[in-house]
Amino acid sequence: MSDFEHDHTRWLDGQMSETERRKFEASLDAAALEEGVAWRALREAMVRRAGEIETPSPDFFNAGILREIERKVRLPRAEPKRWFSLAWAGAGCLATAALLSAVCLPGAFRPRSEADFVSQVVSARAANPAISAYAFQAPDHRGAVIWMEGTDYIPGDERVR
Amino acid sequence: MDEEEPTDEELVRRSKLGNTRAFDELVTRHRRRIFALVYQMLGSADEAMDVAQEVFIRAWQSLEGFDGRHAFSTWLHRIATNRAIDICRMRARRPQGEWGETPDGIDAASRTTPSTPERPGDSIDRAEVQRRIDEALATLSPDHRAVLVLREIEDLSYEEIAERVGCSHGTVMSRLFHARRKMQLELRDFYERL
Repeated sequence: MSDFEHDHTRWLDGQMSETERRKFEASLDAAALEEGVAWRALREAMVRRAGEIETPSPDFFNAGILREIERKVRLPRAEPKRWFSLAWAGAGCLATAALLSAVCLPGAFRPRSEADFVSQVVSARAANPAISAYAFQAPDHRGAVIWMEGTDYIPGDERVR
Repeated sequence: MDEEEPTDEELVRRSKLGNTRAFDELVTRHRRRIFALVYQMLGSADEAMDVAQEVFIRAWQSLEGFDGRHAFSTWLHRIATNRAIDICRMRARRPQGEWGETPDGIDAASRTTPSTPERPGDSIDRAEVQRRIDEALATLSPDHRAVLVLREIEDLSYEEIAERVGCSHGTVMSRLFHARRKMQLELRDFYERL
């Protein structure tokens, strides 16, 4: 931006001190001074114009806003209700399933002792003390799972000793 | 006895409690100014209608964050200005540099005084003035229009405009200079008769 543009802008906005204004106006010719006067008239017309702008269909304007607000107000309230209903439905299903299992599968809820399915690994050795191991053995001894915690990722094809 | 009209602050307080009637009253009080601002910045009545409504909806959603340090009208005005500027930016077809933003075909040193002398008794119809001002504003680039409206109509300082628009103080002044030139050129056939 040139100095002229800068000064001209400040001049039109009345941002110059009296001394600055006199000096700047002295550097302008008559036509440029006229422009300043004309701009001030145009500015007044613009401000008048802005004051005359009316909102078209004001009732429609308000109604549109309220409709949207009410829609937004309803949404958050509807959310917890839906989740609440889903939670109750889920709990009901679980209770029914448990009841059916208890009736149809006698013994399914027979309390088992830990010894029925857990064997402790007593000789696990690892450099990292955070690693621990457990063995889960099926009661009929047809299978066992060794569960290790604290290890890094081990690829599926890695041989574990 | 006449019931005293509630202040904006009181209406805001009620609105925060979920009273949509109170908020409706706030909309009624401020819609004209917000619509006028957005309309002058965007240049389209239809778009301004949508955006002004959106401004109020955003205000409703953000009411909890309104701490009352400034007047509600100032806060609302800021939301409207920011939204209109965002839209202006989205619309901008080509980027403009920070400096030397001389719009196409305008010589910064050009004369903008009317080429035809004023005719005695010449009067301009108010509707014609409105139409010509709107048309002239519409010829400005979105950036120039935003700065001009904020300065001339909303009476914001250069610093406030720079902060709202997100550019430097110098850029604001440069845009103002060229926007004014362009307006004067567009309206040179009649602006001295205003």
